[in-house]
Amino acid sequence: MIDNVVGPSVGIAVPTPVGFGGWRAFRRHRLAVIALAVFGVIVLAAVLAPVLPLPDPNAQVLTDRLLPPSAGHPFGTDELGRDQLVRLLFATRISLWAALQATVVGVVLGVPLGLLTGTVGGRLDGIVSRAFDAVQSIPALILAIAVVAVLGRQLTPAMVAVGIAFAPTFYRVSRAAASTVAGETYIEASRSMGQKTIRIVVDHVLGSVVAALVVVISTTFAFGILAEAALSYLGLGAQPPSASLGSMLTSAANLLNASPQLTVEPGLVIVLVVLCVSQVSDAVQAVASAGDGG
Amino acid sequence: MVRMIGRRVAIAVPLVFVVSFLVFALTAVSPTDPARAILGEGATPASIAQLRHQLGLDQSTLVRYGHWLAQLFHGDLGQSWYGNVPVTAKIAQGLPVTAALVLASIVVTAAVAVPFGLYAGMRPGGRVDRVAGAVAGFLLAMPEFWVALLLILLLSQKLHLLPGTGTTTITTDVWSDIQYLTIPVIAISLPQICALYRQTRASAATVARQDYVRTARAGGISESELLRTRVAKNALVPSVTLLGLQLGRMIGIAAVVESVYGMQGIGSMAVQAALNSDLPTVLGIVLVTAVVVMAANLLADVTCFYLAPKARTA
Amino acid sequence: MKPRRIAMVLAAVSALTVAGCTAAGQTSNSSSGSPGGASLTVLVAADGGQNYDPQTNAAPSSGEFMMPVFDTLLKEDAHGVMSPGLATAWTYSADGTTLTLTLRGGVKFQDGTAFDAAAVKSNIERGQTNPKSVVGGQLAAIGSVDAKDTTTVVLHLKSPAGALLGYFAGPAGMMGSPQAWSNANYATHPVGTGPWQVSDSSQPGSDMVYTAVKDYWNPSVQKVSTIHIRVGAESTFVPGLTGQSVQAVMLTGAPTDGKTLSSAGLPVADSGLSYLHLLYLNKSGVFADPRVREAVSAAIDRKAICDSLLGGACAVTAQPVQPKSWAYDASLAAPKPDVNQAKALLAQAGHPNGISFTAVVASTGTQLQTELTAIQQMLAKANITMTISPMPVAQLLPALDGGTAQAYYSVNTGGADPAIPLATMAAPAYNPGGYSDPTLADALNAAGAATEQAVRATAYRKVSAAYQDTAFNVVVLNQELQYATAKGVSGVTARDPLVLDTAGAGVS
Repeated sequence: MIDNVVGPSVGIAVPTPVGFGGWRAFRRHRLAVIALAVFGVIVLAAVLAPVLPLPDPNAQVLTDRLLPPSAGHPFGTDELGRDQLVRLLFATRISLWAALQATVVGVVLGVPLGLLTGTVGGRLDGIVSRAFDAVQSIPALILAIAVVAVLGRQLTPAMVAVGIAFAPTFYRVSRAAASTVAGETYIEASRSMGQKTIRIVVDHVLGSVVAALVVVISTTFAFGILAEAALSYLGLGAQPPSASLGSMLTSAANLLNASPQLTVEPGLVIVLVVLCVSQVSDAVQAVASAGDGG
Repeated sequence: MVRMIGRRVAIAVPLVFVVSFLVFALTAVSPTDPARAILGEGATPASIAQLRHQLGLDQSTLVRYGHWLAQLFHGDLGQSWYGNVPVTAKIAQGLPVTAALVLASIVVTAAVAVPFGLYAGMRPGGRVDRVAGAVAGFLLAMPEFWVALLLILLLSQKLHLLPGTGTTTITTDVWSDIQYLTIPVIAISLPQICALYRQTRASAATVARQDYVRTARAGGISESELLRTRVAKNALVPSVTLLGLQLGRMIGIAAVVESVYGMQGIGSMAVQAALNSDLPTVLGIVLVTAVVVMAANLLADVTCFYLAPKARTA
Repeated sequence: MKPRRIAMVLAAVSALTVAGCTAAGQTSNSSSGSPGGASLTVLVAADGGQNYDPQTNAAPSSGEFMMPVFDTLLKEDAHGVMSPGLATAWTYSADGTTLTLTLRGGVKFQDGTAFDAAAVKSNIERGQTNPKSVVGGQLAAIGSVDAKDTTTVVLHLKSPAGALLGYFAGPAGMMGSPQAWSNANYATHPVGTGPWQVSDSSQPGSDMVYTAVKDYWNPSVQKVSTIHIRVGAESTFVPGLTGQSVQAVMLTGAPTDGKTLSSAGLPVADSGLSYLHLLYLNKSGVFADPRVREAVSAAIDRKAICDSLLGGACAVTAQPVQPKSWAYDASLAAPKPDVNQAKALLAQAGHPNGISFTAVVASTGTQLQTELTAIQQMLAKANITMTISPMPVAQLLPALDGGTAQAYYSVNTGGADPAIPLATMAAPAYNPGGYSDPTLADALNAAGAATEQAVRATAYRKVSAAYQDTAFNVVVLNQELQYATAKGVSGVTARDPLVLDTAGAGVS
């Protein structure tokens, strides 16, 4: 049992093993499938952006500044006459990469330790859980601000901090999954039937952990996008010349009255990405808890 | 009950130590030299060395941590490197502003999300449920500071209904407080309302499916009576826990929204301090925030205990 | 006389009471002014490095915080005409080597100590000897100071220095209380003789509070009892004014702000101030060679920046004064943008493949960063690679001095009297490595010595021309700065050093 002072991860059910049956169930959630496809397109476009035949995102045309959307510039131009659509695409690259960094850090820090203490328990469990409880009592953005204060204004340390702030959630979920499964009777039954431990782990433990982790990964990724936007907006994240969705909003905020589209556009991209990721996450959670019979 | 609180507090104390150690560790690994930061540019190497000795920076890390802890027990969080003001004084000035903002947001979040959530949970699949679910999903994806910017544009610039910037604590001039808090509170609360709504709805739906509820319904008890007596207390346990967690998240988000709206709370103070590399202020705020979050979660757990003494927080 | 005085007092009291009732609902609730007194809030974008000691900080954003606290020895108007401040009379001796100041009697510092000749002497000596002083160059001509009696100060000059009068109208003439210098918080809570003093409820970095001083020697300017100078991002300028949480802002943000505010019905006025945008250069490295500096100057299309980014509300100049100034050499136009010329100059200076350098800019200056980004692209066409690094105000000069950056894009006043800005730009802090060009140095000395306006004008025109020729720093343009006030605010004026003056301002 997790004796928490700081609070449990609420609402994440530990599911039963989900295998290929899960994908079929997922496919029935039409909205989530569309969301996944849209997300895939965005990622593909962002990754391929440098090699696509697009105008230079840094090409300034001072006489064409602050134009509304038109045929030549589908999303208009910014305060230096640069095409907004291309800038948004390249900014999405940076934002996606930032969110990925946070997620990877969270996974790497939280999952192995969670699986370990969930299976082994004992003194190690107590110490490690306390440490993660302490980390979880610092809000992610505050921790990121502190890390930036110490290490300097750059995006990567800030996102690593966000990842550290989410590691406790990964830890908790992995630990819960591992300790639940470790005690399940079917493990005992499988073992008595002669199955090797490693097969038991792969078949049962990983399967149930994966579904829960997919949910936490998507939640962390979504928060990573939002956190990167906030930190870069404040000037603590992406520094010139790299422009992320958040730093595009900094200069757009000054022109809020004159050219509101400059503020609306990056925000809508953020909303779109986060929405897609959340839809997928919701569907996975629905599939997993449906498999739970709950 | 008292034993539970006592146990939780006893566990919290070492946690505060761990946080304080993390905070101190951050100072220790910082490449910035505190003495140089305080003395500013043009300081001679001799004066820097002297200040380092005065501040005890030439001692071992463990000794420095000990001194720092001792300082902490006296309520001294050190001096800001930017303006040489005691950190505790700065935090004391900013805390009421952030407290007003976060408390108002919590109240609004609970007041909106809980009723809707309980209602939708009791009637899963109904119209309210489907509409609210879709709206909630959409609003959850919005960055709070972006919402704040758009609200400022719409409500302040275009419609002239509210001020577009300004700071306030909770004062006797309630109308003025409301005016200054409305936009930031809406910006912070929107995604949290959605999250709390979904949690409340889910747990209400789960409880409503339970046998004892079905039995009561079959027995002719009215929906509102049912809600009051059987469903609400149990359904609310995870929601209260979530609310405690959300308080922590709101403090983090307040840092950005305060900066957008020009509020002088500890959130924007932390941002300014980070931009100025003023470590003592940032880390003092981290420590205070951690303690507040722990207290909030403890309060949430105590409330859960009162709501449903037999239930265990999962 | 008496009944008129009573009427005036009654009028003032009723005005203040009415202002107090309406102001309570509008101003920030965290303010703590005197009960019933009117309050005026000024909004600025940066906190000036949180050092409000005029003798040790010349950052453009710090001036506003000094304005309520300090009086200057002299005052100077836009045409260079001097009027009394703390000094009521000033006379040069026949040979120009002695300047005698007669001080106003009965003036006290805000900490109660007397303002007298001894205090002036201490201030001048501190300005000359303090290692962190930024006014040392301006006071260099003063050999010794004689406090003949409590209201007479005799300055013995090493050589004639007509510029001194102009200096005394600026930071070098802001008199601080010698007794307060040893206060630990003097930098954020300076003590002068001015109409408002720093209140203990001030929060440096976010909201400085000033309360009216009792028994100030010129009470007619104290129409408001509390002043707040609040720091907020440029994006909060328009919301602050339209939302009535601030009452006066110098519009240094987006150039569209003025239009937005006047269409919202708020009074927007031209400041008449010279607001130069310039690139300070560290001339101890790659910029030691004037040809490299001229190359940078030649690569910049000043007119394009002026027209596109500032909506045309500016004038192109490469001289350290605005074209309307009497110190502007009209025969020397700003260089036309010529990328080939820039490349040729670089090749002559031994950089055929171009150069690269880092420029810092205030992280709070979103508008300046936009301009610098445009300049970056212009320089790139001439194979000049400029890296932009935004930094907080307090770190900007150390970066330039310490070599982290070779350039610093900022603003400065061209001044109605160019003496001060030119002296500042040659000061060690803004001229790391102490670079000096003989032509420019000679011209500056001659100009500083001149006492007659006609002679000064010719002399300073020579300085401006030399400045442009050697590209001492690269001046880009002069912006026609506007400022806006809330409805019902009167009497706010703009004056050097790029501040909004609340003396005489009232809120109704």
